[in-house]
Amino acid sequence: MLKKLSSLEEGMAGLLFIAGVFVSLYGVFTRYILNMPQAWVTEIFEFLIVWSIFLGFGIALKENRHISVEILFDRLSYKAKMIINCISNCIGAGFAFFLMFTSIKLVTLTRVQGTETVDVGIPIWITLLVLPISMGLLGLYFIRKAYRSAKGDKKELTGEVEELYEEIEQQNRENHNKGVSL
Amino acid sequence: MSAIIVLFVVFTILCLLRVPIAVSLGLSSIVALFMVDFTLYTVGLKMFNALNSATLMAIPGFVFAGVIMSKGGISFHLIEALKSWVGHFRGGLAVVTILACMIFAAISGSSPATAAAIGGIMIPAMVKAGYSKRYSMGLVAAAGTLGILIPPSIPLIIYATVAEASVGKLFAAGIIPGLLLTSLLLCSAIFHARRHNYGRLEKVPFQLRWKKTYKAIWGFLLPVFILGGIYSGAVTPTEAAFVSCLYGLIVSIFIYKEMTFNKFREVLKESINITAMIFLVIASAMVFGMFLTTEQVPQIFAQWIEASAANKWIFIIGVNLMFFLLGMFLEATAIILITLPILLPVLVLFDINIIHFAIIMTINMELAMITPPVGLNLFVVSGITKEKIGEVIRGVVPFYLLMVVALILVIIFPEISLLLAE
Amino acid sequence: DATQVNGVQAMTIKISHVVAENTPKHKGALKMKEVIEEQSNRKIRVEIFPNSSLFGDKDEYQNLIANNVQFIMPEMTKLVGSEVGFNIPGMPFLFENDEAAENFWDGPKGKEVLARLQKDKVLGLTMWPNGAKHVTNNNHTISSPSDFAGLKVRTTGGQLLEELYKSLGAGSSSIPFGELYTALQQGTVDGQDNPYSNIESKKFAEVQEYLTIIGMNRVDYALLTNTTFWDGLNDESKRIVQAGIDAGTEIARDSAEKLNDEAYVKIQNESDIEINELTDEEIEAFKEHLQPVYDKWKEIIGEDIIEDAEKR
Ligand code: NA
Ligand code: NA
Repeated sequence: MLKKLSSLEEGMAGLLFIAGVFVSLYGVFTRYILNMPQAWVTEIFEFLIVWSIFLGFGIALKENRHISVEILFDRLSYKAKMIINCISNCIGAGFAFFLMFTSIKLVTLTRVQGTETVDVGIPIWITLLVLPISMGLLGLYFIRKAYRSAKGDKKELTGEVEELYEEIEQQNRENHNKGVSL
Repeated sequence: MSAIIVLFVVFTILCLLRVPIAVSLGLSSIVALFMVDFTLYTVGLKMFNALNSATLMAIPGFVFAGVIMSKGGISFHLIEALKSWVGHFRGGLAVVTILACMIFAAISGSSPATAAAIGGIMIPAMVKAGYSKRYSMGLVAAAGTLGILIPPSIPLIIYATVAEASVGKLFAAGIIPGLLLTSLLLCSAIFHARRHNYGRLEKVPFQLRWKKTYKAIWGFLLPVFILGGIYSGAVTPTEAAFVSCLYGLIVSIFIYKEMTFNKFREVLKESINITAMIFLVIASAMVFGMFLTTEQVPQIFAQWIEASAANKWIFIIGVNLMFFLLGMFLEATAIILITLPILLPVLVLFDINIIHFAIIMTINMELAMITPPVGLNLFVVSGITKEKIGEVIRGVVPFYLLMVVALILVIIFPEISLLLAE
Repeated sequence: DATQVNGVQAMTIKISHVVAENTPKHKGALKMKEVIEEQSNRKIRVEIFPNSSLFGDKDEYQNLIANNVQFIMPEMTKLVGSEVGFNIPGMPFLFENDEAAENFWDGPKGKEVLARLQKDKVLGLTMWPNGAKHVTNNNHTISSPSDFAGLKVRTTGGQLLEELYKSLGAGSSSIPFGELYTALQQGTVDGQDNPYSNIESKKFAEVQEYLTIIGMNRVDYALLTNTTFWDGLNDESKRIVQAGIDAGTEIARDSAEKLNDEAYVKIQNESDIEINELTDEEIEAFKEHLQPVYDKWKEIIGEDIIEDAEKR
C-alpha cells in the first residue's frame, strides 16, 4: 500500500517538475521569441516546482538524503543506535504530522475565505493542498523508518557512506570467491 | 528570553539525536513559537511561501542542469578536454574549478546554485584525478560563495535599496574584492596541490587536445550560452537555469547519445532529491528566522553592539562577530534586511563609507553560507556528494580562513572596494 | 497622567510591512507607535517589523487573521484575490491626485469596500497612499497608446493590469521587485511602472532611458487589523489605538506626497533619464483607448462604487 503510494508520489513529483520546466521555457519563448510575455507564467511555474519539491521531501527521506548530525550517533553501540534512531524517526513523524494537521486547518480556512492567487486566480486553498499531502506522506515514511530501526534493519542504522563501503567490500568478497583478481 | 534558550537547547538535543537538521530547525522553532503564544497554523504557510520565490527557483534548475551534465556525457567530455590542457600542471583541475565557480556564480547570482552546478561536475572529476574528496568539497563550497561578491549580486541590490546607495557603484565596488578573493583561492589551490602532489596527469599531444576540445565544445558553450542569455536580456537567471536544462538534454540525447529514458528518470529523481534536501532546510530556516525576528533577537544584538562599541574599530570587530553569529543560522537576505537599518545610523556616527561597508557585509554573507550549522553551500555539497556534512565542514576550514584573510584586507584597505566605485 | 491610563490593557502590538524604512508607510507606523506608547504610558508596546522581516506579501494576511500580527498595510492589488474592490487603484485615470483617492476611501463607498474583508475577520481601517504610477522604458518616448505596442512591461501583477497592458499591445510579466533592476538593466523587460519614490529609491533611472509622466493607475495601501485583536480592546485602549491610527494616517499621507515630490526632483537632477509629461489631449487618447477595459472592470467592481470614485 505504502509502496504504491510512494511510486505514485515519485511519478507526480517528476511530472510536476517537468511541467515546471516546460512552463518556464514557454515563458522564455513567448517573451523573447514572440515578444509577447504571458503574465501567468511566473505564478504557474513557481507552483509546479514548489509542489514537486514538497512531494520530494518524502522521496528524499526514503533515500536517506536529509542531512543530520552524526557526531554522537557514530560513537554509539548497536543497541543504542537502534533506540536513538527509533526515537529520532518518531520525532520526525511528530513534526510532519503536526504540520499536516495544522495545514489542514489552513486549507479549510483559506477555502472558506475564497482567496485567489493574484495573477491567475487559482483558489489559494488548492495551491496549499500539497502541504497536508506531502507532510502526511513524510510522516508515514518516518514511521516506517522508526519501525525498521526497531526491527534492527541495518540500512537504517548505518550512514549512506558506510553502506557504500560495505557494498564494495561485499563485491570484493564475491569477486574473490569467484577467483577474479582486481 | 526563556523561549530563546529553549529554542537552542531543543535544537541541540534534536541534532544530537540524529534528527535531520531541517526537522530539528523546524521543530525547535515551532516549540519556541508555541511558548510565545504564536498561532501555529501559519507555520506551514511560511514554509510554502519561503520556497515559492522566483529567485530560489534557480536552484532546482541549476541542480537539474548539473545532474544532466554529469550523467549525460557533457561534463565527462568537458573534463576530458580541460584535463588535456591543464591536467599535467599541479593543481590544474582546482584552478578550473575556481574559475568555473566564479563564472557560474557571477551568472546566477546565487551561491548555492553555483555550488550545485559546478560541484556536480567538478567534485567527481577532481576526486578521479587524485584530489582528496574533502579538499574538493571544501573548494567548491567556498568558491561557490564568490557569486554574491562579483556582480551582479542580489544581496548588493538589497543593500542598495535599504541604504539608498547606487546599485551601479556597489556592483563596481564588488569587482576588485571579488578578483582578490578569487586569486587568493587560486594561489592556495595551486600551492596545496603542489604540496600534496595532486593530479599531475600525463601530457597530452596538441592534436589530441584539440580533438578533445572539439568533442567537448557543447559543454564549453553552455556557460557562454547562459552568460549570453542573461546579458543579452533574453532570460532571467532562473530561466537561464531551465534553458540550460533543455540545452543539456538536447546535447546529451542527440549529440552524445548518452541519455536513455531510464537514465532520464534517474536524473529527474536525483534532481528532486537534492533540491528537496536543500529546500526543506531553507523552509525550516525561514521558520527559525521568523521566531528570532518576533523576539527581536537580531535587534537586541545590534543594539547591544551599538551601545558597547567605544570606537570605529571595536564597532567593526563587533559587527563582524555579530554577522558570524547570525550567519550560523540565518540566510544572507534575512541578515541584511534585519540588521542594516539598525547599523546605518552607527555607520554615520563612526564615519564609515556605506559602499565600503556593503562589501564587508557581503564577504560576511559569503562566510555565512559556509558557516555551520546552517550553511546552504555546505548542504548543497553534502547533498551532491552524499558525504557527511562534517566532512564538508572539515574540507572548507582552510578556505574559510583564507576568506577571513580577504575580509581583513578589505576592512583595512577601503581602497580595494572604493577604487572602481568612485 | 497615570490615573488616565488605569483602564489601559498591557499588551504588545506588532505592526508588519514589506517596504523599507525611508517610506511613508514606515513613517506612519512609527507615528502610530509613538502616539500609542505615549498615550498609554508605555503600557501598550508597539513593535514595527519593516522590510518583510517578519511576514512577507504572501503570508502577512493569514498571519493577521491568526492574530500573529495586529496591523499590516498591504498594497491593495495584493488583496484582489480576497475582494475584487481592491482593483480600484488599478483603474486607469480614475483619481486626479492623492487627495481624490483619499477622499474616496474615507467616504461611504470606500469604507464599504474596506468593510468587505470582515468575512475573513479582518477590519479594513483606512487607505495610506503611495502615489500615481509613471512608466519608464528603454525603447522610446511614449506619447500615444500605440507607443506601447510590443513593449515588455513589468507590472505588479493582477488581471486588471494585465488586461490594460494587453489592450495597449504591450506584454506584462510579473518579475519580482527585487530582480527588477537587473531585468531592466539587461533588457529582460523593456520597462516598468511605479510611483516616483519607488523609481528613485530602486535607482531605476540608472538603467532606463525614458520616463513618461502618465499617472495611469496608482499604488495605494490598505491599513488592516483583525477582529480578534480589535474586539478584545476595552474602550480606553481602543481610544488610544484609534488615536495612533489617526496620527499615523496623517503622517503617512503627508509624507507620501512629499516623498514623491522630492524623488521627482532627485530623478531630474541626478540622472540622464529623458522625461516627458503627457498633455491633457494625450491622456484623453489613452482614456479613450482603455474605455472597454474600464467599462468591463467598472461592472466587475460595482458601478455605484466606481461612480462614487469618479466624483472625487
Ligand atoms: Na554575482
Ligand atoms: Na551559516
